[in-house]
Amino acid sequence: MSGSSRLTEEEVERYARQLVLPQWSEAAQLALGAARVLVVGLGALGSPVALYLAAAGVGRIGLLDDDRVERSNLARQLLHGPADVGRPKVESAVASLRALHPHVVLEPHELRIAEENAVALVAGHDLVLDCSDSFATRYLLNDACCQTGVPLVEAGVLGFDGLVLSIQPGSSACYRCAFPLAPPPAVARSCAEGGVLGALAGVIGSLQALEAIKLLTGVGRPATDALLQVDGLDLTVTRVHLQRRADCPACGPAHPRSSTL
Amino acid sequence: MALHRLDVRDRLCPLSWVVTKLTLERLAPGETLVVTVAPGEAVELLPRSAREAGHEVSVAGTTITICRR
Repeated sequence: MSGSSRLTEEEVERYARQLVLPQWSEAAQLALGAARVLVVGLGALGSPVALYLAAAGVGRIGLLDDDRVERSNLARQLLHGPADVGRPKVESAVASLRALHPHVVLEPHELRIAEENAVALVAGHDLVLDCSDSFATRYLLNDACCQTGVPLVEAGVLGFDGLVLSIQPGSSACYRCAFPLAPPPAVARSCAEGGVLGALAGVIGSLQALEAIKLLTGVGRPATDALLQVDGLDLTVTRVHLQRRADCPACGPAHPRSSTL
Repeated sequence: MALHRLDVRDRLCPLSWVVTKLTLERLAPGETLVVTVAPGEAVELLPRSAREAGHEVSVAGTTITICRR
């Protein structure tokens, strides 16, 4: 990333197909280059998210995951290849992204997000992308983003279903506004139990990256106060309107942050 | 208003328009950019892109004069 007020010749050539967009500008590209984002989870969603953000020219990408690559990941987690099995995901993600874009600053965090570290990890970023596969992490990230004011693009996939919502803390509905209560453990299925198709994760992760790019550049209108539900089996997309809850324990004006589920 | 010049004869489409577009973004509204393009598709495509972006455009051979909107 040039970090200057003008794009370099190399950057103009690399980003030509997005710079040519009527809605795009040098200022939008420089905003991406100056941005620092955090990708939580480097699996089926985190792969397209990190790849597209790096390719688009996001300047600094934090990569957070404490897992190691397993063979069962390879059908959908495109950051990792067969030679990476057994390797920490942050390591193989850094290698893949470095090969794609050598100038992106990559900040690997081989750890799990938890109550004790969530706020510290989120703070200082311009945007967070939740690519995790657990409800506990979703609520933790939502609450940390609401507390720090960092925008969050939330997404999830299971089976043939996916969802995306963009959150501007303090001005749009947060994840707790949409889902005040976590589903009981008996109901909440994981990808391991419920299955997931890689191509659908690719679609949802790409939407997540698109939302992040819009939020970072101000180009277009992000899907705030809305929940986008994608049914991959019938290829239908439903946009559900969301409203902030005055009694929301995470973002409601009358309530300080609560990180308890 | 200041007159600015840009030579994009060594650029292929759409890079010739991208460089022109970025140069226009740095100008003030009403300023004029005179762009020299290579013969060929840029003569057709660059004025069209500039007009679609809302600028005032006149063409004389391979010289495209664009008044920034």
